[in-house]
Amino acid sequence: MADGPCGDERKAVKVGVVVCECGGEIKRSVDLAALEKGIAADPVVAGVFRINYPCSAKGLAAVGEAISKRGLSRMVIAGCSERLFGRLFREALSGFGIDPSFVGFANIRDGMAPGGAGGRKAGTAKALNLVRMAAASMAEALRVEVLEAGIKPLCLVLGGGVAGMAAAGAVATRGVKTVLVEKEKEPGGLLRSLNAVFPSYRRADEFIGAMLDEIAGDLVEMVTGAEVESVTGHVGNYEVTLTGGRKIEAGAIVVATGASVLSPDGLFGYGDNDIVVTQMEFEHMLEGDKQPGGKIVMIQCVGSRNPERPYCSRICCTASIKNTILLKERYPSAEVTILSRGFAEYAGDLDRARDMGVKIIRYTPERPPVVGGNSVEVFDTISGMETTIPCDLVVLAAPIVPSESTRALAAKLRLPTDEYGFLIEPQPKLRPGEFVPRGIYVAGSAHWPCTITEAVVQGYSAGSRAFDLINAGKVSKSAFVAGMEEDLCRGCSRCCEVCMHGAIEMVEAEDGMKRALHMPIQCTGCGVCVSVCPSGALSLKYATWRQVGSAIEAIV
Amino acid sequence: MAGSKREKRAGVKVKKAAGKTRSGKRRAGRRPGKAQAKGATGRRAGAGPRLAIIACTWHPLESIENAAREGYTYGPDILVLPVRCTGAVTVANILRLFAKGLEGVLVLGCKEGDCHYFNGSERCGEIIEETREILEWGGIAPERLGFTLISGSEGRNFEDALDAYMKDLKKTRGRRKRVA
Ligand SMILES: Cc1cc2nc3c(=O)[nH]c(=O)nc-3n(C[C@H](O)[C@H](O)[C@H](O)COP(=O)(O)OP(=O)(O)OC[C@H]3O[C@@H](n4cnc5c(N)ncnc54)[C@H](O)[C@@H]3O)c2cc1C
Repeated sequence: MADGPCGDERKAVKVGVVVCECGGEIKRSVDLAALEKGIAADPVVAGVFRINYPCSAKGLAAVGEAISKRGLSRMVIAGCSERLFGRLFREALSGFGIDPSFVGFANIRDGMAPGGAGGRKAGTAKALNLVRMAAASMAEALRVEVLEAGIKPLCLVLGGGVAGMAAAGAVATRGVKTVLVEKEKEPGGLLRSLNAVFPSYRRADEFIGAMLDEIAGDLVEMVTGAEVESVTGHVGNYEVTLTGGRKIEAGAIVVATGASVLSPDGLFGYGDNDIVVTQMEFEHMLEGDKQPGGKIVMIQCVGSRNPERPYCSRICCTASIKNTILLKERYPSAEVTILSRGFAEYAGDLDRARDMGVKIIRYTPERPPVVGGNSVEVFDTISGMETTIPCDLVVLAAPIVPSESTRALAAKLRLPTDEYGFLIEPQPKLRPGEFVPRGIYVAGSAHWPCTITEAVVQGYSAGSRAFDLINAGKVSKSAFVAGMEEDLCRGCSRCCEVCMHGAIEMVEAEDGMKRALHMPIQCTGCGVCVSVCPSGALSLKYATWRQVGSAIEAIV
Repeated sequence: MAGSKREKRAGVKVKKAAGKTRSGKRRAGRRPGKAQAKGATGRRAGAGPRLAIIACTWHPLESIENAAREGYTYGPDILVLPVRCTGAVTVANILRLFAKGLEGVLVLGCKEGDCHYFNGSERCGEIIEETREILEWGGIAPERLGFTLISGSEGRNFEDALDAYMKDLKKTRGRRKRVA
């Protein structure tokens, strides 16, 4: 990639500057005549025009006239913020034959010095510097082309839990072929180990059955007992190899590989003390014919909301309350005490459980309950007293933790994970569930502990967005991205490690050396790779080394 | 705390440090020109320190522009250079700015967890550390290179960041004379 325009493109470089008056706003802190003079003296600048409100229809016409009269090929708008008017000017000026990549901005209106003689002098100097920098940068700018990639009309859904099934259903009902890959022999995920589920109290296997009905049909192909072996390619065109050797070409990928439940070994005697079980095991006991216990103590937040795992696992309150209700419905004489650190707002049927006579005691992590052979001792923070509760069963609510399998998949797909190992999208608040611009979507507890309802909704959402992408038929975008000069690459792979958008892959070159392969269609243009590249092979196409360098040199 | 990023994701409002007015009113002591009045170097008559602020176009630049809209003005010798992400800031470019004779460079990025490109500001932190080391070798007080992460685009965030940086910068002045 040439650093800076060359050949005819270089000869055609004629930078014009429009100085906006903004209805007298700018002259309060800038001496416009002096500014114009200063800009005209800059050898980079071919023409400077002062226009009141160039953003208006009249002003734009004046800009257009100036462009054609002077034969300008690149423009700098010195006025207000690019954020406000960047798009307007880029669109309007392309009507006058100026490529959007050749429109630059200098904000000489916001945050300028207040009026007064001294202030205006300094303000003018500042404005001049800003314009000189923008002009110098525009003179070196490269034409930014439009990138396009086709999209394979197939959606790959990884994980056959409720989230994955919902996603597959969302894609298939809209008529796009979907392959659902499940690691285990059967789909269903965690629900296969549950008894009945809140809020419907439907049996979990019934729920799985209903989800399976939703994806019945030709459009969803279920592959069980398989996992992802390797992935190559980019948005619109992934080649995924499954264990067993099958290759799938997919346009979009939904990751719904779920999470695990912590095994609370060593906590509250779990593993040594026979009367201590987990909520998961308790779900099974509830299915049996025998009453699991007469006096039951449940302990919440076991191994979560502590320094090692400070997060709330979000489903344990719901699960414990649900199991209590199921138990009390069947065995009304059973006594249940829940030791909690405070219930989550979405804790489910708390009131119903209370009405059924469940006792709730609040404990603090500073004085945790102590489990004995047939009783639990706890410091009740409300009464301020130590209480001993006789019991024959202790049920621990262990949290949802990231699964090894999801973590391994994240490494293969090069998806970012958070400090615990859950998948995290680059813009959790703005584009939840989406790995922009990768055509990869995440749903369910692979992302964060969630309820079934949430997992299903996230699955639908991920599926419909994957459909939108595939349905568009192609991805295209202006290449405000990084560029790569392969010859300069030494194959150190630092760029590949820091790129969170999977836009760089290490591939073997002809000489047997590993080289970075940059995939612009997936690049966000953030420039992180540029800052780590030791050999200058990578640069930003819209802000090249030369552009930034000459802008800095232009400061007077 | 490690959970804070998640708290924000879940939409839990993180309480901001107490600030009395944020209703569009200017705060006392933030009148235009305060920064410039404080830090006269005498190098250029009437001007404050020559600085460059490298600002990511997401939270920081928005914060800078919002501050301006609320009437906050800063030294006339402070140039704002927008970059798409601070992850693209390089050692070379920061050094170039110092070589231009600027007194300071302040880099403003988005807070961890808010970076639109995930790891841009984190990566920038590494670059800043590297550059500060080089500055120190060159006899330039490393504090002259400021680095602040801004969360949220309220103008006040920028005002606070600049004020804090100006204070640090002032402290380096005596030292600078000794070295250079
Ligand atoms: C004790 C307990 C009780 C609960 N009770 C309730 C309740 O009453 N109500 C409620 O709303 N929620 C409840 N939940 C939460 C509920 O289980 C989860 O919300 C739900 O399982 C999330 O579904 P998922 O599809 O995201 O993940 P999972 O159910 O974990 O499914 C993930 C699937 O992906 C597969 N997989 C993993 N890795 C790969 C791979 N690499 N390739 C292919 N496939 C892979 C797994 O085998 C699994 O089938 C409870 C949870 C527990 C632990």
